Amino acid sequence: MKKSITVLVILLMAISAVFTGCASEKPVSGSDDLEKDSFIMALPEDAQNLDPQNNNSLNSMRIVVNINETLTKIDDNGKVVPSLAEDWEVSEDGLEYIFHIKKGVKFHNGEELKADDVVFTFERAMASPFAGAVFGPVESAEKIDDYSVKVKLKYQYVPFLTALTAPVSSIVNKEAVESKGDDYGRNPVGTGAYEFVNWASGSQIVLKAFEDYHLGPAPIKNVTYKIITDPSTAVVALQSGEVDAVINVPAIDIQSINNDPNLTLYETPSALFEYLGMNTSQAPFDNVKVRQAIAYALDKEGILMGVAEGTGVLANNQLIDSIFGYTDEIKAYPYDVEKAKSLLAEAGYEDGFNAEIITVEGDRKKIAQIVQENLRQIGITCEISILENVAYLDKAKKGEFDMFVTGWNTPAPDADLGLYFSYNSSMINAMNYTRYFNEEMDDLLIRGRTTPDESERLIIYKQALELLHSDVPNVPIYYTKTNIAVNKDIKGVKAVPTSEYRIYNFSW
Amino acid sequence: MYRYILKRFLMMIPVILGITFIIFTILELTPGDPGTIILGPLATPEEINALNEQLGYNRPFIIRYVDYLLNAVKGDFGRSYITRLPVFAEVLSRFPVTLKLTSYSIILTVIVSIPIGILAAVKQYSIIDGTSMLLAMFLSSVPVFWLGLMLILIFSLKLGLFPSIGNDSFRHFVLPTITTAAATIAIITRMTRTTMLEILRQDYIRTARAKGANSMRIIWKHAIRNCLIPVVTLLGINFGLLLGGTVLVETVFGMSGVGTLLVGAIRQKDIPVVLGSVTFLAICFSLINLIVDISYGYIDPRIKN
Repeated sequence: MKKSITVLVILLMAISAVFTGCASEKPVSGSDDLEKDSFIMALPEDAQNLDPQNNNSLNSMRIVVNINETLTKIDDNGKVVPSLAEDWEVSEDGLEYIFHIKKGVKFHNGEELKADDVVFTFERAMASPFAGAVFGPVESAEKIDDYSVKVKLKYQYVPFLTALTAPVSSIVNKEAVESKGDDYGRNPVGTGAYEFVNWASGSQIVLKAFEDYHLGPAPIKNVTYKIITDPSTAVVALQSGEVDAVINVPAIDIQSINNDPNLTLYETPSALFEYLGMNTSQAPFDNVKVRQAIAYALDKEGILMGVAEGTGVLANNQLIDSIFGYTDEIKAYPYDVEKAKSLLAEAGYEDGFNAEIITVEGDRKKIAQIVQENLRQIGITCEISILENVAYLDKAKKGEFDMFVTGWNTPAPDADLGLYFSYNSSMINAMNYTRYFNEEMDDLLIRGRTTPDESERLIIYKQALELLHSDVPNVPIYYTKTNIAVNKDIKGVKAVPTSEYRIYNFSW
Repeated sequence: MYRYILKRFLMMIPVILGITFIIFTILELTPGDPGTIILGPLATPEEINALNEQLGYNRPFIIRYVDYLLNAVKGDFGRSYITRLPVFAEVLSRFPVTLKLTSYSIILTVIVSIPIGILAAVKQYSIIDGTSMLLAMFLSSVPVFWLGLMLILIFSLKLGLFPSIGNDSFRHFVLPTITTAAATIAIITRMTRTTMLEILRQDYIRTARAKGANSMRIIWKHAIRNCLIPVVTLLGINFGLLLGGTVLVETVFGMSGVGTLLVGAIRQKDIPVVLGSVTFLAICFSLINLIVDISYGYIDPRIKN
């Protein structure tokens, strides 16, 4: 009786002693200590793995771009320039590329970058289910000599050099991948400005500047990516100095960042646009007048204000100015309810009809709700079905829907990557969710990716955008804005549409 | 005594089996297969089928379930679809954070609630009673994430006393512990007070008083021990609930515990991690209940039979 209480108390004391004892007293990590060679960035979700050819997650690629590099890269003017490949030759028929690799580039494990590594990377990417968009056209890669690689394509693919700037094309070290096997994704090796130090699953990933980086060591020596899933918590951590940068601050917090004298916000339109898609293979959406009526009926500005609180750019068409092939001469359908009603009547549906919109949780649900209201004005009664991500994708691929709300992100700044997968008829049952089937479009898209002359390509893509405008398989609504909020003392920060930041450019 | 413990232990097994079967079935009924989940929307149907075949997904449900159980007993809960790391290792590496958070919360609850509850009962209708009941009502009504964010805003941002995110040091656990413990403190304080009030009205207390025993002594020797049974039950249940329920606090405070692991896995359809985490938590919860049941035997000898 007295004994049991004593036992209980002793037990409690023992437990608390054990726990306080084993809690390691490390100093609060943050940049309020005067270590101006450290940088902490908040990451919204843990990376899947750091193997460039084996993941499709944005948060993994955000880190990969600091550890690895690609053969080509995009400069500040949006042009393709040399990176690990210092120059290249393209054959007349566009089927053979010879890349000359920069000499003296070191990997983090001390090995020098050679043709073997490039060939190895290409063969790996060709076999990977994650790299189809870039490496689909590649037939083979072979070593000519230690610093030259010949790449053969299955068909002419003019945007190839642009596609090679995507992180999935990052060159890996053959020896490192072969020796580490399955562990490579947790222990990557690259030629980039930062080398991998460690990864505390679910907590943080640590990198440090690679002293032998071929373009000179990075100004910031230590980089930590802290995983903070809740965006509001990330903003508070930024304000209290526990992190130095936060990507994609939610719209409601932008005001408080702007009001804080210690923080700066940079933003830019991204290559991701939200749109309403329609199933062009079934009635009534197979009637172009119905689709045009819907395009006129959507209050795009209202949607941008209501969903994104104005942080976004109204879409003119299915491309934006950061993507090669864009033209601002093709503009969006204006908001005109009367025109919408008359077109619907012309199509024979003056009494309207019922339809279902499928989408996922989050902002897209809100977009769907406003669309529902807009369409009600012209007599179309919509029911919204919110599906879970995988279920939604399943229905979208199979065409089991009337309309859907989703987004499309163009992975590298070329019109082919923005249009081919969504509007070429070979992609029905894959990414051509609207099931758009137009031979003229197919022809334009094939010509677009096989015509080497840039000005000719611009003409082709302008025609493609015109066709998309008149056929309207989907109604582009707005391009999202990506932003980064940083401690005001950090220099060299510029908002990037892909939101994959190279810390090499930053300094205190 | 030992038979009692053994019986309780054996009863755990069908409970855990039942839980794993239910979760396995639920996950089976949700759309999505490992191939699509791992490879994502850009993969071709052939690639997806190849991966599914490789992971043994095309076998019948029962075979997969039994296979899972047989491996689980050996400690092999499969590999995460996303990170390809062994599930057991991943859950175990995140468990200390959740365990610390839960344990500190329970300790805080015991230190705060029981004395206050007893005091409130002994001095019923006094200021102490009123204030503590008001506080209890407040703590049980506020949403967990609101309380957490408020604490961060005041103590991290404005006063700079504690860090807002992470779980590296003891200081990182202070605010999360208070947040987690809040609701439990409310419940246990009220429970202690109510039980204590009931006991103080019992005949044997009146008898002791009549015999001239000192008030304090009465409370210590007789009242508290009897009061402990419902309180210990509740503490045990809450400990188990907290173990599974720290998700909100872990998310708000950016801590990497089992809660965030589980929620992240659910969102990404990482089925092995979901199954492994839930099974692990179920085992922990059952063990805690077992300990609570055993402790009854010591607190109240009548129950052993």
